[in-house]
Amino acid sequence: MDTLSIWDSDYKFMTIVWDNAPIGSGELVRLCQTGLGWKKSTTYNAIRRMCEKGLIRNDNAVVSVVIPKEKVQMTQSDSFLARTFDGSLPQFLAAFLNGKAISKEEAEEIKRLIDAHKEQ
Amino acid sequence: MGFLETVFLKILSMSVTASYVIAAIWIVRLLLKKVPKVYAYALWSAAAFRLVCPVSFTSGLSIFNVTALFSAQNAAGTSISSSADANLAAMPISSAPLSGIQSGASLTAYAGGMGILIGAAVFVWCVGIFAMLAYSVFSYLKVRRAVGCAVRLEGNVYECETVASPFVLGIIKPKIHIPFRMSDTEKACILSHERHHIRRFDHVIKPLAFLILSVYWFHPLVWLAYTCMIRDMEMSCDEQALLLTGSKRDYSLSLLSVGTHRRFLAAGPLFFGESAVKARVQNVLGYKKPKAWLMALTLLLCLAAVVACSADKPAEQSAAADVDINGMYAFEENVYTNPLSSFFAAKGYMPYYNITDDKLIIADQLNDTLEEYAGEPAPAAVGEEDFKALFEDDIVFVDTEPDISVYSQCRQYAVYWDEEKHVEFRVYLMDNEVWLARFTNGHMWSIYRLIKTDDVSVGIIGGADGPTNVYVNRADAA
Repeated sequence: MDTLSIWDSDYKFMTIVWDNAPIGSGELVRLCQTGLGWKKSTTYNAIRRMCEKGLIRNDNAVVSVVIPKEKVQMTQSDSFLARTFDGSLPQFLAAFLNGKAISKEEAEEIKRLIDAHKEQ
Repeated sequence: MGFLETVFLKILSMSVTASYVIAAIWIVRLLLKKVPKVYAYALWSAAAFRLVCPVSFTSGLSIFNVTALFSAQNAAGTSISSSADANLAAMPISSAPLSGIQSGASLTAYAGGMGILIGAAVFVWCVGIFAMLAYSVFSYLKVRRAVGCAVRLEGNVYECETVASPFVLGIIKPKIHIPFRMSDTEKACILSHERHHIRRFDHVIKPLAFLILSVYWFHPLVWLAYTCMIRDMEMSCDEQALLLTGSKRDYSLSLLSVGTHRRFLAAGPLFFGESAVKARVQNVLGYKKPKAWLMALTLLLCLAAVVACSADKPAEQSAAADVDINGMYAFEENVYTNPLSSFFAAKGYMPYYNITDDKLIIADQLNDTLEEYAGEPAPAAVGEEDFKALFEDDIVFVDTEPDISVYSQCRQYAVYWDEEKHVEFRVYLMDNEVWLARFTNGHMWSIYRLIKTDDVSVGIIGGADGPTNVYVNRADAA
């Protein structure tokens, strides 16, 4: 595989790493706090995840780049979404509290409504 | 468990009152279709007030005045323990069994079957509350964990890939979460919407409303009120955000794009996203900023509606009540006897009491005595402390004094006395009950609860010298 794909938030994290590597993990935590609003544990989780993916290396609390920015692209992973939020709410309760999810037909109908509206 | 049971029965009584209020609000809401949704949203505050507050102020404007036109007077002897019940008693729907349960005095009389039933109901109710609260805590924690990797965009706005539709999370420090890759127009529309929610403290109101819903989970109308309120909340926010965004088309398209992708991260009670996309789009497209006079009129209507729903029926005028008090009474129950007294009146005690403004006549058939006491009206409100002070409580260790806190209106009606015999009588009106208190030598001696018996007349044969015979004529006697 020539290009790897990672999720949006991890991509933003990696951008900080790419711009600042090599960087001490403590300093990285501080940068993520100000730049992303992340807690310390979140940053360390991200470091671990990116190491597992082979994108970065963490030796003696120093984070360095393994795969450069050009080789990586951003993507949204539908499978991640499905895994974490697997219809755990009872269907009727979800429908009741949130309103029904709209079907394709309804979406098209709404689009027609909007298009038909004359802007004043 | 006595406390929980009392609370539960109070909640039941409040939920009946709230039913009428919710129905009234719902009807008024139908009239408000053409005006900004913020008025409808504000109306629900009356329902919330009714569900939370057991007492209220009275006003001629109350919606409960209407029902007085349909229903008969309260039956004598029905004891009413709170403002909510005062409204209840006038309802066309028979609420007699329920209002009978409300009275604190009756509660202590419960044993056996009824008590077990109430205990079981309280248990189920508590389980329901726990389930609701557990659900909201669970979903809150789940979402919090999911958005841990959200990255800050600006200020309190975070982008997150675990969400497909935007929402606000957090009560104290609310944070807006939006998906990645929203277009600039979409972002502008969504952010002005969510920011308005925060400005209006909706992120606090929604959890509070859910708390109320958790307590009233058994009541379908409260669920209806909750969903309608949420919808009004969202739509009124749309309208405000629209004013900032300017383009109905842009705003509606952003609603649509966000709505289409909504699959996951279900919006729950402690945070919220969008719902009912089509209705919202239609509301946005059809929105017209109303003229000033219409807004003023609507504001007036809503204020009136909120007051009418929040207020209780005023208490009956005392003038009308006084007319009813005079008349013939029979002994009903011995409410209090001084522990030093050797006489205890029980069922079968048969004297009749004729009460008028300036005279008390006690006719005792069994002993053939007719006692007459001169008196005068002495209207006064009676507070709990004043009433307690009438008793000397250092005689016995046990509290035998009647508890008048269960009555919402305690008044003194008249006093009668005989100085030679050192005896004094006072007639008290406890809500719809008539009490006759007897004082001997200045000490509280007994209190009898009397019941009106207009079909009885008392006469006396004989004179001052010879034997007297007291006879009682009952209208229904054979």
